[in-house]
Amino acid sequence: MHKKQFKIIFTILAGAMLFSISSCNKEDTKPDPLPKTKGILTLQFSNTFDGTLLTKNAATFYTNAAGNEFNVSTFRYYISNVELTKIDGSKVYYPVYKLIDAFEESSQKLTLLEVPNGDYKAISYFIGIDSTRNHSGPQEGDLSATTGMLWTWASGYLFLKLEGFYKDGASQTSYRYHIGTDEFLNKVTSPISYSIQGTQKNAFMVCNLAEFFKNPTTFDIKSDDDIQSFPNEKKEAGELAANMADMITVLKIE
Amino acid sequence: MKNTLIKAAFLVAATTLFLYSCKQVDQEPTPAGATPYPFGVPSFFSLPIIPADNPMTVEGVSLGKRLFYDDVLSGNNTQNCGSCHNPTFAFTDNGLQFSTGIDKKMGDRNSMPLINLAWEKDFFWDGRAKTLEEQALGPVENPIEMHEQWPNAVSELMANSEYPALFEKAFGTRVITKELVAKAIAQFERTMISSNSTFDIDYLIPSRTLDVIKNPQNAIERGMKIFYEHGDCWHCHGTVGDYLFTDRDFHNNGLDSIIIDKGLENVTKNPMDRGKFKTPTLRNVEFSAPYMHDGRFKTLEEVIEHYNSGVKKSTTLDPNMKELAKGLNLSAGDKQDLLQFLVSLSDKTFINNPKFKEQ
Repeated sequence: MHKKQFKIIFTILAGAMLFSISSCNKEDTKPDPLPKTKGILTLQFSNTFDGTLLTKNAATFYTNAAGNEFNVSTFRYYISNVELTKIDGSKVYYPVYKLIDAFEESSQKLTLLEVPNGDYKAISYFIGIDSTRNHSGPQEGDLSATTGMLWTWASGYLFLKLEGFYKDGASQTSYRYHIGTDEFLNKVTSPISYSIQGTQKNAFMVCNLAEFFKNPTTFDIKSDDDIQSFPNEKKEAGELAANMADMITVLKIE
Repeated sequence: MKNTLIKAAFLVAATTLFLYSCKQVDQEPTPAGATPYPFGVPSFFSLPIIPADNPMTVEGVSLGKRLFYDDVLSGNNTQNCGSCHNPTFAFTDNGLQFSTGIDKKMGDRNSMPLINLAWEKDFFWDGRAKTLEEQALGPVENPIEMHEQWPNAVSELMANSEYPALFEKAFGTRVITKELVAKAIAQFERTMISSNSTFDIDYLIPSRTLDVIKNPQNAIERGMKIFYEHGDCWHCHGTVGDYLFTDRDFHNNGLDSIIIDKGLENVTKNPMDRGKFKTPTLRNVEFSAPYMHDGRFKTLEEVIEHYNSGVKKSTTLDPNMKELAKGLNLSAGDKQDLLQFLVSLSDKTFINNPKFKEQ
């Protein structure tokens, strides 16, 4: 190719780049003449045990309500179907499916775009997957099978996967809680007032793993250290699923 | 000339569109002058992530292949990567338990298969390399393997009559570094995709829903059922929909009650990681004997028997292995069926692919 052609192409490319850069700058420096009617809400999840951020495979164990000393090697759960409720009771719905991994920081943000301006009084969401998507087999993104959250055949997804080790007398052994199936889907509503006015706000969501083992049922790991939500484990899986309902709280929105 | 350019632009645009529909992998722009490697992946795999600083190019892959099979990377110029990673054995060491380096010293870990590495995230049995590029640097300097000094290897490559030009084509520079050598080898290794096994041809390529396939007359399907249900293999080797047949993670799979080789713990220094090793893919497992990080099992029958009745408890035994430690009670027929399923993951077009073999 000739030098001339290169020059032309280069000029066009450089021009396009300059144009895109300058158009970015424009947006940054000059405010839009019309007030924005929508904002952004980012849900940020931190995963704790009573205020301490969880550490993967910690050598120092946590102590739950039943007095079990345990640590965590895997902790993941789905947040989906987010709904924001305005003070007039109207709702804005987001068909999102987000897998939160306590040990993957990049997984812990869920951004809702185009949140209409207004005063809100609640955030609602599912801990888990709605029945339709739960039984549609492997899907894209966070619902892909590579996440290791899909059960085989028709069972659907694990809504929550918690694995680790606990002290059993002098020895140490593993536990495994895989909570799922449609009947254990938690639909949670957190009342909190906030206002969206064209800007970005962050909702600081705190998941406290201590709650998984209490309220309403104080769960003793030693009583059953392996629950996979199989039909013969419905009672125990149900207790843990009920405990999960108040596992996440909205600390603040700002 | 202008017309030609416009035509070329249209062609590029059209090709791009076409390639995207074939599940083409997004990559960063290639170095000046190098040709982007058309890196397509099967629709039943997720999209791999290619490092932004090492996009695949035709020139890079070709250079990587040459380096992979070049003895110049070993101390006395007698061994290359392919010496212990033979494609006929799913890129493992010719059926050997341990590999012997140039100084006739023997290692203590079994040579790992090189299959579908573009999807992997930690390398070596103990995860001591975070990237494929970092992994490729290791064996060259390992005193019990190729026992070379990188500066030596680089000088030899620089003095070679052909290599500087090949590096220039691939990376836009004649100045060879060990990092560029590793990048080229990693590019070649990422092309080693296996997705044409009996299992792929019969089930995945026609997009059959595995949920409904449980034909009791078919040994492979009986084995598949054991794999995905009672045998509980899938927790580590991939659930329905995840057809790399590895979770790309580390586990203690109950080989010993007293653990000598600490595996991942050696890297993380965390006693909770004692005896954890990387899950290898089950693709082409028929060709990669012997098995486990120390090659202790000679046959797949021995491996199946381990999971059936030999899982040993220890403080870090994986949470998903504890149930298996009670024993699976597989019948002789069940074990045969499971074996048939594993063998259905063999891909002869992969092990015989001339693109991967030394020429």
